[in-house]
Amino acid sequence: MAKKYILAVLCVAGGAILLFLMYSLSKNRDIVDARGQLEVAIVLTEEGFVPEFVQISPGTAVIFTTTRAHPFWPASNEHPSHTLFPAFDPKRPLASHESWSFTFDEVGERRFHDHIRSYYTGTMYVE
Amino acid sequence: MLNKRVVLLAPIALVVLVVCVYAYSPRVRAEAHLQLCHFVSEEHQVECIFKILESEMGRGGMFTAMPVFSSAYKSFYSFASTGCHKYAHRMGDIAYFKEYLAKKDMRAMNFPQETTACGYGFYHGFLEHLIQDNPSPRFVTETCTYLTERLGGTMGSIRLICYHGSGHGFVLAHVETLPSSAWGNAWTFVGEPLKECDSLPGATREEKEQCRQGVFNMLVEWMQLEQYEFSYDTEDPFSTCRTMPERYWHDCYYETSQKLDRLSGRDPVRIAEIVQHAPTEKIRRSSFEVGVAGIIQQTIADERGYEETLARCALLDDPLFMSCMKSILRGLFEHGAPQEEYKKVLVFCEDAYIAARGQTKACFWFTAESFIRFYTPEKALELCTTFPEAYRDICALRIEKGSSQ
Repeated sequence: MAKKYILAVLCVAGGAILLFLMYSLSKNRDIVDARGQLEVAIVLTEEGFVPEFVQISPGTAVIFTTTRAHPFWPASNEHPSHTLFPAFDPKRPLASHESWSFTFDEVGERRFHDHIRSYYTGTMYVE
Repeated sequence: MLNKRVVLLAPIALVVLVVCVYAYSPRVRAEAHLQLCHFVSEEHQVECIFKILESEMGRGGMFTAMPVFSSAYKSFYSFASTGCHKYAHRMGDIAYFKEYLAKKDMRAMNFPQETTACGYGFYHGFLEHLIQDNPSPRFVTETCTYLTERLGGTMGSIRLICYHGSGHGFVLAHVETLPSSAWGNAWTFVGEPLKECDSLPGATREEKEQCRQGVFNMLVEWMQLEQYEFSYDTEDPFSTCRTMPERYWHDCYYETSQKLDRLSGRDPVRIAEIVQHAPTEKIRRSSFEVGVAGIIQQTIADERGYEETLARCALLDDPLFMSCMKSILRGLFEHGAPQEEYKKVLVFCEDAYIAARGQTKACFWFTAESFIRFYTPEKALELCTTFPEAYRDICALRIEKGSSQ
């Protein structure tokens, strides 16, 4: 009886700890909620992608532009192969005056970067 | 019969205890988060890991992030198995953005010993962006001199690595200026950056060579990824090199050989065949060595990570066997567990194939050389005591010689 109790305690405690860890990991982001919008604009600035973390609905078109005077190339992680989501890749650098639009149809977390300056990163939460 | 109060309070007490430890110990917190990444699919584990690494970098710079990087290497097959160099590169990216661009002062940054991990990939990533934003040969010399003065005592290869990363940066800066009509033209991409490497003030021949190899490294990456209208010619992988001026052949062949592992089916015998028509013996030998080291990058996390490669090396004649042995050893160091790279190497040097060729002493000698590259002199000397007794003296000799240079 005592053994069963100890096991139950450990299971309940373990589950609570796991939920706590998952919550604490997810809360450390300033996420812009753009769900319900048909189009969302993400701008690559000197400080990085703005907004950096965005929640969108499936079917939302995300339009990338830049204010920097340099080419840019938004693409899916991982750098430099873009293998996590190969379709999310214009396959070429974009001139500073250009824009590029991509529609996210599938639910998921899409981390991306600027292929030319890979330290600029962002995340799309398609929910 | 358990007391009712104990029944109610025990789980609560346990959870509170864990939360307190978590809240007051950032390292525990980071490790706990890292273990959560085991619950995501293997395809997404690396991204999960990097969320934590980015968070740690923001919290305390490399001193807090790099130990977590080391833990990730040891805990996740997906992190170690495809070559950790690119992940170390990514740490350099993050450090450049979160640390350098925020402070604009390298003196305010910390560079723990773990930043030598995975072939100094951290510095490749950091420097390529630093130089991309400051593509001046004079700035490169000043930066590399600073890093050498600050870190050279414990990171034996930092100066050469700095020049290599700068080569990356020169070509990244140059590519941003090219029109799309230039895509696919290798010389247009690398010509100017190579000249910048050759004009580095105060740089030695070897340092300029490292810079040039950094330039060609980027070109070969784009060829393999089929970006900028480049492609890797699997029928004649060195065809692009032969379009370069002869003085750049060695550097071009060297970097192109990084990708021979896939072409050769991870077989050193096949690599020897591919490189046999290289224009000079020096180029043939270094291309072979780089190709074999590339195999280890892909196999190091596997259970028999080098054994099959070594068995194939044993089919080669003595000079190539020696090159093969050195390359496997190099690969084990370049892609091994941060600050624990030596563990597999010590086992490797005692392998029967190496003993059969009478190369055990040479293997331990090369191991001691690699200690200088990755470890502090104190740690290196301590590791000499793990050598078989017959080779401890040569280890200490090599470390002391390296430290005095």
